[in-house]
Amino acid sequence: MHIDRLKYQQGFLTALLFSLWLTASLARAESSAAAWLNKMSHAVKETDYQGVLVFGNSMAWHTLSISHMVVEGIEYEKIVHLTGEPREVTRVGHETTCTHPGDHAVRYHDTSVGNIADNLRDNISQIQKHYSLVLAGKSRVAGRTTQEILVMPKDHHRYGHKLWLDTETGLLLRSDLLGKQDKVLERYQFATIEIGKRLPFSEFDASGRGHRIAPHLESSAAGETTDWLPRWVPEGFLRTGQNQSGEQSSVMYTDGLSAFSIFVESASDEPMPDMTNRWGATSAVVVNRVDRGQLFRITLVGELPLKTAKRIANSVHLSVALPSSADYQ
Amino acid sequence: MNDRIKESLSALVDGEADELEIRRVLNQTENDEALREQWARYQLIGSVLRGEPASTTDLSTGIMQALDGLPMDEVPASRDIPANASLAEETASANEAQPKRMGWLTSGAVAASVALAVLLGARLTESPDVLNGASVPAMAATGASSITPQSTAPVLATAPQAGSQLVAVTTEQLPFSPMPAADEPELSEVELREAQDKLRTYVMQHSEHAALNTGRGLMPFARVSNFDADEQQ
Repeated sequence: MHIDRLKYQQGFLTALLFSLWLTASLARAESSAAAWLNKMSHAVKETDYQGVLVFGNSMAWHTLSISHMVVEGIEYEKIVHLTGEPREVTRVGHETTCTHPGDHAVRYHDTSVGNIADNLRDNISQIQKHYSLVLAGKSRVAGRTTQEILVMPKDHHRYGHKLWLDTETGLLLRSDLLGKQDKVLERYQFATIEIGKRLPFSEFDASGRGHRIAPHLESSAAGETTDWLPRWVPEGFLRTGQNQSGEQSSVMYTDGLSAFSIFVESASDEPMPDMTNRWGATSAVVVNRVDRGQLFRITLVGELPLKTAKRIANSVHLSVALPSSADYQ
Repeated sequence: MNDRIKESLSALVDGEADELEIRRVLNQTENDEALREQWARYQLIGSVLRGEPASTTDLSTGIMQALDGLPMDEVPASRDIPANASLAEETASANEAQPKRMGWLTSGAVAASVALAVLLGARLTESPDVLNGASVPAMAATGASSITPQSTAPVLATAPQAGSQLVAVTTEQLPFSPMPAADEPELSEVELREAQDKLRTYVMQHSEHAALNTGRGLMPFARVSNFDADEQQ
């Protein structure tokens, strides 16, 4: 009897120690994964690199070349589409220029997006509230050794990510966006990359291309607020920007990894039916709302499960009160 | 073309109904005989595999109605198919000795289940869960697992209701079965295009936002290119 009890105690102790060890090592793996994620968020902004990227989902594959450098704290970045319609996107600081065929270039300038997003992105513990981080194995991408990180959502309102980070620099070399049953919805993957290469400034000069500022994309004056807001957004999504121009207003949210945007416009011209669309990881929902006899069309675009996107879009209303507590500001 | 349909159907199986896609496919089936035939066969095979009355109800009109938010008839019209119908034989032989064909047959069952789920889901607009989560996979699984000799079992014939919007098609008619004259409002190709153009503008703006907010630099702009490429197909 006594011996049995001793054995039992020993067994219990062993189990306890084992579980403690397991918890500790899991915690270590988790914190280590978080450290990698932190490294990634800095690397993407602070490293000079140039490479060829493949992007695809179940419908199509595309090849793009991407260049990035940082000079005196200012980011220079360019993406050139190598397949399909010729198109390039250049970003200097927070100013982005899109060049399409036919001398049609659009320049975006959004001053309302700023430190909030940066803080959120850098704040890995914020991300960990809604995603579990797991350190996975090592493999090779674009000829470099990478560390795999699993970023799995804790609820049904966001997609999971599998990230392959360059072990040396932390740069994101491959990224799979995972839907239900871990089905890959889209993938970014570098085919080749050169890191630490300083590029000429001319590489990022989009001014010679006759760009124009699209009037409807101008930012709102500081302090002006959008009244069309969702009553519900998944926990962890914070408002990071908003625009208002004439009849169209927009508001953007992110949880640090995924983002969605809501656009509201007066729809007096032709009524369009409510509809939903999804391609790859992107969901789009269009719903109509009547407010004081006026028809408004609400469009949500984002990397969210369609069901969640619908729920958010359906909760958008013309608010008189201040935005919900889910907002950052 | 077939790949595109499969993509649409697989999106449906995931409970992520892509409405523009369904509309487009259904619009196309109206003009494409081969496609129409395949659509009808998918539905028929699904019924057979599930051991249901082997009705060959064309659900496309019902789905269109559902998408447009119009009321639908309570009881789908259906008709018997002959017990020695070639499709039933095809099913049986595939079941016995041709594992390679199972995938195709299963997907047929899934397609039919999905078509039904769309119908049901659209009718129960207050409970969108019908389209998501367990119900669709469950139906698909039933379809896949119940490949039984019931396929030639006697059939409960439901008399087509007067004024039914759902059209019964027999196997003899399959290749040439005409779509019903669509007098309900549908999105025209032009309207679809306009809706897509509008969406494209928004996707561009969203990509700009995502580029600055998700720690991936300009990567989100790759999605825009993908969207355009889909358009060109």
